[in-house]
Amino acid sequence: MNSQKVLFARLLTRAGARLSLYAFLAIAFFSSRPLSAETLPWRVSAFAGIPSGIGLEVEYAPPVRAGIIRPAIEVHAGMFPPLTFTGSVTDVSLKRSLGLGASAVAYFRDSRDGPFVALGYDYTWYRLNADIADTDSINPVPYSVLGDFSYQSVEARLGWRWIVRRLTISAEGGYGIAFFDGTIPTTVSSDGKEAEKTTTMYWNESSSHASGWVARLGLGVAL
Amino acid sequence: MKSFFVSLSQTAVFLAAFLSLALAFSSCSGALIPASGSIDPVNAPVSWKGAYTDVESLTAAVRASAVAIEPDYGVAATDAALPPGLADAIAGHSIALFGERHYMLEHHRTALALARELQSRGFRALAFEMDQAESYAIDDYVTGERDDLPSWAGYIEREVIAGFRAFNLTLPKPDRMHLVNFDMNHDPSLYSWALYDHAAFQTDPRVSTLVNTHYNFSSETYRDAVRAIGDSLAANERAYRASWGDLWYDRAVRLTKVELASWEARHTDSDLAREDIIVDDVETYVAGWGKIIVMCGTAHAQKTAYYTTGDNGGAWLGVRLAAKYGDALWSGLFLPVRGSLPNEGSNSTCYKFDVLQNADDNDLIKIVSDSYPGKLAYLPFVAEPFLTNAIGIYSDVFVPAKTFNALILYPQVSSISFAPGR
Repeated sequence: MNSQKVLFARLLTRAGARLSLYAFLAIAFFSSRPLSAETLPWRVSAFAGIPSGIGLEVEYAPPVRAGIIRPAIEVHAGMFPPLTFTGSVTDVSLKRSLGLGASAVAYFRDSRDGPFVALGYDYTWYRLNADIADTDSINPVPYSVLGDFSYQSVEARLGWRWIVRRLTISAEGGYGIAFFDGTIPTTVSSDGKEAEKTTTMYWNESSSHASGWVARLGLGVAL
Repeated sequence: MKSFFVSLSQTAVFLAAFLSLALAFSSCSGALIPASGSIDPVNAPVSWKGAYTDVESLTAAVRASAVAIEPDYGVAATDAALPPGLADAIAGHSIALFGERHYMLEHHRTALALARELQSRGFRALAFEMDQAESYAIDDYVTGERDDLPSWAGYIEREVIAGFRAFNLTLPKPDRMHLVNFDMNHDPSLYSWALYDHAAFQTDPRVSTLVNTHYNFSSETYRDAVRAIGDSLAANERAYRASWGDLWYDRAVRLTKVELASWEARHTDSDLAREDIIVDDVETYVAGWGKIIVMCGTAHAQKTAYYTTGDNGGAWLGVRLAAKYGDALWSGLFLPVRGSLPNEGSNSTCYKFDVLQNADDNDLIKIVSDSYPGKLAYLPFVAEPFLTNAIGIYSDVFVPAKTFNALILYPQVSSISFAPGR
């Protein structure tokens, strides 16, 4: 087990070093190019991130200013691919998801790129499923549980947007707080029978709020 | 130079965001997605497993047989009340099992009340399902054989231990109630602590080596060291008995036997091996004291298996004792309706629960609770429909009288206070 950990750590170290080099070269290239964002206020990007998953974001950076701030607004929609969370009692599958959000963004350059800060709001919805084998029972009755869970979150992010000609790349990270109602209605089904039950969702041992890191990488075009 | 620093800062931001994202996706720890969350179990309706559905008949049967009293919140542990009739029902049996949820303050207080009540009826020991290696330190303390309780001993409510000791000190030594543990040693360090706790053992080179060596407790090296102690005990019995006395020699043998079996159970993650240890412990206590009260998880207390775990095939303590001792065994189900209990066996965060939130209308817990809201209820399974019908209880389905003798339902429960460091 230890040798596996060491090997894994080495692979990570090598991959990290290679990645850092690529990232550095890419940034050096982008930074050497002329910036043309001021004439390209729309940015449409594909992104991957938390809490919205993989999706599409649209940003509009109008040519207005408020002191040193060059404001922009951003909206996005995304979803996660099917995932399975390993639970202490039973595994829970994320069958479908939808994340919708918007942010107020502040740039500091006339070109509306480079460093930015953002305050965002997200609504995230999951359809969760658990298949219970009930194998411990002397007379097992396997059944499935299906339920919807959603939460609203607000977050503060720091990021950087590179724009080269029409290519735009963004990287951002921050911290958010989620608010939710932990009481979830569920549908229990087995062999053609169905029943409605409720359960309680605990996130970091709370049934009403949680907090954590948010992050997003985007790649798209400026229009 | 300026563009170099701009590039450097851009690189830092990019890498920070990338690493945050990678970390969030790979481990999900600390990320704003609920992968670190949990969901209360959702059970299928008990009627899907053939549970009795006549709610009116069930309610009438509950009202005909049950006794309910006000719960004893706020009184001293030594004044905790027992439902009328409970002690009388147990007194005619030799072994009383109580299936419970662990670390429940109200259960520990009831255990003390039962011990005080049943001592005069010939019971001589109360056993908790906890690591066996802690047993002798706790027992010696409550029976007045020692005046200090080691900090490493005790998943039992301290107020209850104090009450137990105070009660015993009013009795002649031969009549005192013992307080012992049974179970595999989940915590392997307890074995060496238990050995080292006795002064005579501290001078034994094998014991001091065991204590002072930083073993990997899951290693075969550790197992062999314990085995060497066992071999030495067997080979030099006369010398050890002369040096330590019979009581501590027998304890050393017992501690070593249980730790060796525990190593195997831990190593193989075998629930059957664990149950073997539990049964052997309890049968040893029965052989020594005749009449005992046994506090264990609800699964261990079932006299007829309605569910299994791991590789145990339903060979629970209650099942095996019922086969061996027949009617000498009494088994009760001690359950809470709502409250807050620790997530783990320690001072960890508690989780709140309310079993009525998802209970079906024909679940016996809901019927008893609705019949006696806020009361501590005692329901002996002595009449129909409990004798021959499968009933839904806590989302499980079984014939109550074949599985347990009675239900004791507590309306609201809380966690015990753990010893410092737990």
